[in-house]
Amino acid sequence: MKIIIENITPDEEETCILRVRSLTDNAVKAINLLKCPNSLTVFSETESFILDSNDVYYVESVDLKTFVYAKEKVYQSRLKLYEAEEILSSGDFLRVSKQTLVNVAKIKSVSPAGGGRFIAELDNGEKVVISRAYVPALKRRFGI
Amino acid sequence: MKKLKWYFLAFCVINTFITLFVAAVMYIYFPGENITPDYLWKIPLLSFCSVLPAMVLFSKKDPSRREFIMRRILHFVFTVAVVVGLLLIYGWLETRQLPFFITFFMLVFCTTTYIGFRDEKKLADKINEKIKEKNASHDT
Repeated sequence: MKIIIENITPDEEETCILRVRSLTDNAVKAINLLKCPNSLTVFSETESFILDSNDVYYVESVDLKTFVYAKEKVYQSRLKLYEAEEILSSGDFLRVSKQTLVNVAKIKSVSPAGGGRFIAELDNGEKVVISRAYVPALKRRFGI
Repeated sequence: MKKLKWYFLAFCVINTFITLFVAAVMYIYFPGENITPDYLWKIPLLSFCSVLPAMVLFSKKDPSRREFIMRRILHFVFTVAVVVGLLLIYGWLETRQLPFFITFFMLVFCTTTYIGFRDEKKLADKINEKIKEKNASHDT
């Protein structure tokens, strides 16, 4: 890959142009880093775009694929769950199980599910299981 | 390692409880009798067998609600079977006392399950309070 860096004058807008044959994993990571540190590049059946972390309800890994859940839609991301966790770690995101990251700001309420687990109900009505191993982190997040 | 510590703690608690219970029963119902040396291994063995079902039925992955309930029932049945079997072998329990013993065991099991659920409910309520406070501060 050829990398070209040009110095510009202060009044010019900083621009990054990626000339690619297809949107590879590395290209996606580069976009995430450049565009906004707290956003994810996601894709649906027809298009790919950048989703702000405030619009993400939770991120789930299923069958080696990562799914990003917004209020009403589900998207897919090429990032692995731990990579998404690194990007979103500075925000309101918390790991609640081996497969799930949840946006704590979107939690409406929690209820016990038995065996030390909890169920978090989100603003959009969806429910996410909080594994018993991750309950201490949830308590710390809420200062309990 | 954490799990092993938990099992050891459970063993110690159960062992203490059984020792005190046996002492109380001996004092009240058999005041003239002495404790023989075989009590020194019978009580710890009984304690170990009480913890064994929890070790065998431990699940690393998060069970679904149905699976969780099934595991609790299995845990109860397994524990009662192991403990009752051992008590019958020891001669500490007679078959006519079985219904009383099983009822007592069920009561203990239900009480511990209720206490566990109540503690989880308290924590959930605390978290929900914090969520309400956070949402209220966002609205203002």
